Amino acid sequence: MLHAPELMISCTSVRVPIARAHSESLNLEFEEDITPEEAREILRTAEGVKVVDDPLNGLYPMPLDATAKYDVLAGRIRQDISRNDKKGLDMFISGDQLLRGAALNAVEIAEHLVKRGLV
Amino acid sequence: MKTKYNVGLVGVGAVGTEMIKVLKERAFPCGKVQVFASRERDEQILGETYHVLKADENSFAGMDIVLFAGKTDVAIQLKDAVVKAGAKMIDNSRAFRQDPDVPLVVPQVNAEDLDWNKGVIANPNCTTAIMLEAVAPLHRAKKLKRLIASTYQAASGAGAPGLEELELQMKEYVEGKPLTVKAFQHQLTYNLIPHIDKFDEQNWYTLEELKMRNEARKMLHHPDLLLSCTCVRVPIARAHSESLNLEFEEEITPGEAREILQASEGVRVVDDPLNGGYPMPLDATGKYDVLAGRIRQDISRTDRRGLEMFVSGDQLLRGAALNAVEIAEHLVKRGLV
Ligand SMILES: NC(=O)c1ccc[n+]([C@@H]2O[C@H](COP(=O)([O-])OP(=O)(O)OC[C@H]3O[C@@H](n4cnc5c(N)ncnc54)[C@H](OP(=O)(O)O)[C@@H]3O)[C@@H](O)[C@H]2O)c1
Repeated sequence: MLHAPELMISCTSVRVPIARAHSESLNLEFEEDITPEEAREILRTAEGVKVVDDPLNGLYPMPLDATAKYDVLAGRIRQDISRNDKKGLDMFISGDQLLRGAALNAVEIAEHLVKRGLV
Repeated sequence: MKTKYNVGLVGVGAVGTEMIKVLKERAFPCGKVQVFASRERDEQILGETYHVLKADENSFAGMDIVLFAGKTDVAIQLKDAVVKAGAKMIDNSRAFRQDPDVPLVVPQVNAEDLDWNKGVIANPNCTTAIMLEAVAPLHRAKKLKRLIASTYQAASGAGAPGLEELELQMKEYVEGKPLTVKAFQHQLTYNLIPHIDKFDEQNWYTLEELKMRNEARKMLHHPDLLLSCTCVRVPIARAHSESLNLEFEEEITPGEAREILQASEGVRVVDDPLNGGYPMPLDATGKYDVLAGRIRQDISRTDRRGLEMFVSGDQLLRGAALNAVEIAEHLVKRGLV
């Protein structure tokens, strides 16, 4: 989907005892420098994702808050301290797997087919 | 050498209760045992009545070993009194873990550090202890360079009140009542909370996440170890799990890693995925060994220096009570008490 056939990804998927919404702890490495502030700015102007990143007030993505929401919640954004450069970020996200992960996504695809005159 | 040791125990919450159990299970050569908490009372612990005393500066005369399972401020307040009484203090709080005069020990990882103790020995944070039980043997063989961890931490990691709150919430949930939220920042039932301990306002890691790095560096004698971590509270009762991405200086295959861990103490390889064999907190609960499995070559690398692994360990045992009692056993074995 990213048209990045060389992208390196490793992942451990785990089922947890909650009802709805998936969460993911992401460690990201970029070709270019990126700061947490830049990342938040980029995500704030992006569609489909909502930045929830005010940890001192207890605000970070949680599956309960992502449940039944269209937006994926992104937070806990910080520079990866395990690197000596600024090319790494850590981030935690929660999203409703029945909506973004299935139903909403499918209906949005249908909407885009209509919009693009493909149907 | 003595044959019996007078033992003091400060705190009888989640960790303290386990300590009494482990001392009995392992038949530690206890002489007199005195339990302390925040106030005097008679308390039934595992079917026996203990006369619990309030701990103060004069509590420790005649004791050989004092196990601390109270809170950080209690440990700070009473440390000098324990040392002055000539007893060894084995502390579970974070009070002294980064003190250069205090060894931070998991016996299977760095028992030799006990030799330079000056009266106080610290237990690492539970997530660090569980991680290192599985990682230290691999580090010794192939030198660890960088580690990325994501944790799945149980409610009882927040002490007895944490477990009580999860169980109360589950009951309230079934009964359709509003849920009580006090021990944790948010509802834990049917939720995940990526927030354990306070936030560091410089780098926005939590202290729990930074402990993993700082304690691992100290215990592995590896000040340059690179480590990033996201710690998450999950709605389970007991035992912490961790997804670990490991990068080594040397090449390592999953087969080699399994062999190394199979020959190591304190860790048990559970890695037969086709038969549903992998570490899970339910299976780690009440067990001394940390379970390690899902061991595989990291496919995000083009070399063979990366491994993925999933571990589960009982944070009240390896992460606290068992570790403290094992430290006491090693002090005895090394003639340090
Ligand atoms: N839970 C874990 O998985 C875990 C793992 C590793 C390390 N730790 C650490 O171990 C320590 C104990 O944790 P816990 O989970 O067992 O907590 P807990 O269940 O809340 O129990 C705390 C105990 O400390 C006692 N206490 C409080 N103030 C005291 C005082 N002034 N003097 C003497 N005793 C006092 C309490 O006495 P009362 O009974 O009178 O209230 C209680 O028995 C903490 O530092 C914690 O961070 C916990």
